[in-house]
Amino acid sequence: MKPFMYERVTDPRAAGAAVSRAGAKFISGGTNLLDLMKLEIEQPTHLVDISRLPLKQVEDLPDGGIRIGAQSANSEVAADPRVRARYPALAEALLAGASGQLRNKASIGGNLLQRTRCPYFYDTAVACNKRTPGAGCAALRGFNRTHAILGASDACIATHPSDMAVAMSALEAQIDLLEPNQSTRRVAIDDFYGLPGSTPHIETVLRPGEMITAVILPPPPPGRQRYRKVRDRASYEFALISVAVIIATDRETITTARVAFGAVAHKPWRSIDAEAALEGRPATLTTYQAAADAAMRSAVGRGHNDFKIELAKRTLCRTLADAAQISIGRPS
Amino acid sequence: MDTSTKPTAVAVSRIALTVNGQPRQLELDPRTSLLDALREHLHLTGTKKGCDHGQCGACTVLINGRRINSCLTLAVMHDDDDIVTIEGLSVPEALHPLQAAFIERDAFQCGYCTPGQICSAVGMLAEAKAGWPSHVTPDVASGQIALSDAEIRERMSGNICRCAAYPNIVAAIRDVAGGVSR
Amino acid sequence: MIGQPISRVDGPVKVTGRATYAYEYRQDEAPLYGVIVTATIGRGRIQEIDVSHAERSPGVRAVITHQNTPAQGARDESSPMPYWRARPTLASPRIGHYGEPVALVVAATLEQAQAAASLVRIAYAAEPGHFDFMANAERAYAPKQLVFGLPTDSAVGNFDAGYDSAPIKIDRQYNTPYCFSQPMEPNACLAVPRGEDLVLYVSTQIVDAARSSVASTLKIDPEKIQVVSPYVGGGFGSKLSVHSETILAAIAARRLNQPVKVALTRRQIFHDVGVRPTSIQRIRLGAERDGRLVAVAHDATMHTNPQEEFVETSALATRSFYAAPNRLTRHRLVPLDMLRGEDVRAPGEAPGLLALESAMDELAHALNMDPIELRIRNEPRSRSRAKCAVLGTARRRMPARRSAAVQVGTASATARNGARRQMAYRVRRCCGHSCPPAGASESAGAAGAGQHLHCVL
Repeated sequence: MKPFMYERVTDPRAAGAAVSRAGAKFISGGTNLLDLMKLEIEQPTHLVDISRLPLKQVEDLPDGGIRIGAQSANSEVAADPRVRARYPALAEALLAGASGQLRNKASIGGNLLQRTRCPYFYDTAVACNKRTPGAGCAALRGFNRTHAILGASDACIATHPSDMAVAMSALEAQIDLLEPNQSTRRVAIDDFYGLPGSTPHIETVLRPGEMITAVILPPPPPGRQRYRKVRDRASYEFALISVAVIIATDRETITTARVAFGAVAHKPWRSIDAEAALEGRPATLTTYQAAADAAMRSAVGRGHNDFKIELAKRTLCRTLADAAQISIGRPS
Repeated sequence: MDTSTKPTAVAVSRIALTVNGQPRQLELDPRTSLLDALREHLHLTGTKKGCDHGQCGACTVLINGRRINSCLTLAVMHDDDDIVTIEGLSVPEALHPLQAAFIERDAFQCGYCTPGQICSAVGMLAEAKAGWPSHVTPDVASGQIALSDAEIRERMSGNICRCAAYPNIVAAIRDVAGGVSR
Repeated sequence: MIGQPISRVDGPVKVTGRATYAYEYRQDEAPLYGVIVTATIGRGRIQEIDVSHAERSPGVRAVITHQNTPAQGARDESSPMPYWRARPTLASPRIGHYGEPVALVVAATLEQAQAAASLVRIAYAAEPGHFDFMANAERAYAPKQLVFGLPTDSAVGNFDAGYDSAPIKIDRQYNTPYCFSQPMEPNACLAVPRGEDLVLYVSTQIVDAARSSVASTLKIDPEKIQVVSPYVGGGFGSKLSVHSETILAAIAARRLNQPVKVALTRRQIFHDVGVRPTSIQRIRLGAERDGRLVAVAHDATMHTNPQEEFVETSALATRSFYAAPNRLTRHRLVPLDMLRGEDVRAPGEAPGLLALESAMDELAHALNMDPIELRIRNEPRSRSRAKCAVLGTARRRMPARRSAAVQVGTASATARNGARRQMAYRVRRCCGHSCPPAGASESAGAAGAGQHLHCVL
């Protein structure tokens, strides 16, 4: 680890000032940043510890929504009775991630900003456009089993590893940001992340020194929410495919639906195409399969991850059926 | 306490924290993980380094009552915090119930994951008692948590054991949890 | 075990964190910290190594490379016991596999050593290498012998003739992956110089081997070395031999005349502590219609690093497991520029018996026969006539096990071989044997090997 100066701030104004130094970075839980600093993938010269800022509250909003402070611990939010009751997909997504110890330490803001676990990103001896713009992408012709099938480019096929962000995407979360000059703005989660294009080293729209202060969730949409994570192990592992769905039915017709995928792209993948293929249709396997086909229409395998396309479709079908609580019958 | 060789040309941070009930002052390279502060500076070597990257749980300690991987946090981030390590779980007269249960159930072989397992279990039982759901809880909205074996395994999934003492670890935790088994 | 249950005597120290492992010993003198730098090419040589930035880094006391290691003893492949052999480290600029150690940085604190390690600048001349096992399988060759001087191949009767004549034939290939011991405690050593003597607190499975290996590597009288290892955080084969952390800690400690401790990082263990070779296990079984084996062949092909040949004895147990009149076993090695092989938990038996027993279950399925019945049919009546090792008394308890197995599988057995449907999968009753590597030779066999694992799934 390269040497750095460390300071802790207790007031957002001081945070903005401190992080304006060249080479300064915020740290909160540190469960991703320190992992990367130990490998010298991240090399801040100045750490500004924002973990003690008064941004840990989960608050009900007058419109029926909820505001989650960016410094709340993942585990605290997952255990919050209001989140569990009104946003169960978010609780499920949080609980599906990492381990008990990591969930206790990681902040909500940190979960949004965590970086890819692509093994080539993690290997400083090989080419990675994220670490070194222009160097190339070793994953393209490498072991790309866990890599992106949507929205990728030949510059980068990394995925965003967060479970929480997928549920937040389906729930149409907004992210509150605070600049060093104290001005604020609110960005929809879908607009917060970028696709790799030719600039995979740019992952979000954050401006220099800008800090996440809260995540705002609108009132929950109608219907049942489910988060489903598919992975090689039963626990403590990143997704091969994950999906967050919210589905409301009237008798046996789908009235409204939300669909977002994880582990398929550089960002949580909200699928408007799947939703359009669901709304107004009967809640049957045929409908779900059509939605899955629509969602994966432009999916591209990179050699070792081709299976993800079919896996994503099946996971969506299963999860929709689960959430709609209507049997899809036995597969033949 | 011996801070033998002072690092040169690196800023040193001064922190004060409570470790196993004792106030401790440290002057440290800010890069020092809490794990290395405990092992190398305070010579509390009960907490183990298994992977140094938050992937095995052998370094689990309790910080302000919560179980945390001490390898993935800096000592300087814990100024004013209350740290409990494996050494702080027993009192001179008696082992902590989980320590006794681990012996009774033969829940270890090489012993290297054991301190982390026990500290993690202490934290986990507090979380379950507070009604926290887990990934295997059928309905996250339900307020009732029953610590089945499946729940114990999921909640302890952040602690790896290569000697495969898992069945006995689950049994030891079950004994102390006094919850529903199987 | 026998008699009353008893708590482990080491229980109290382990559950209270008072058991001391190698890296944790405290000396009067504070130790220096060593961090190993590893190669980032698959094969080739170090062209240039610039340690000046590392040496100037705060707290650094030494940077050890192939350019300044002392003369080390050569590894004597002819000596029968591998773990006692020398392990020269940083002895040459050649890189034989990815992750091979190329430098040791020693500093006053761990953080300083880690930071300085990333400042070691190395220019490599990379060479094309062979890394893909399947793509290189045709380059397989026969080693001169197995471990402990056992023959590479074996033959009883005439396999080809026996197999040709058998009415029932099973020919299966099982591919097994690279597999790592990866105990919870990383390989670690604290080396403490005491005048001419050296005390090594090291995580090792065989203290005598560690002492001999260090002595012959560093050309020291073994009497001058003391090895201390009361607690080991798991070995599973990875601590039978000493590894680079031990040799380098010892070299650094003697050079600096101060205690030096070195632990491998978790990543480094994947690259520098030997691996169970990846393999292809081909089993051919020829049987009569009543299940009696006529011919058994086991061909084991696995990778090896060319600089340090290692043969896993996967087909060894097959030589004496079933009493077929015609038996053939062969071991072949594919040279790959990958990490060298070493013993990993149940060396030989794990991949070999997995293959043999799986093939036997396939045979049972082909015969529509209970898999345990198949084994019972093939028990030799006389061990010497069958030239088959009878593995202790446990095997004679087969009938009892059969009834236990039938109890387990009773509810859902729908075919004689226990096949049934569960969800979308076909589930079959299977059975497996295992045995410890207790001198599986052709003749009489190990009477003392009472350990016999018999699983019914």
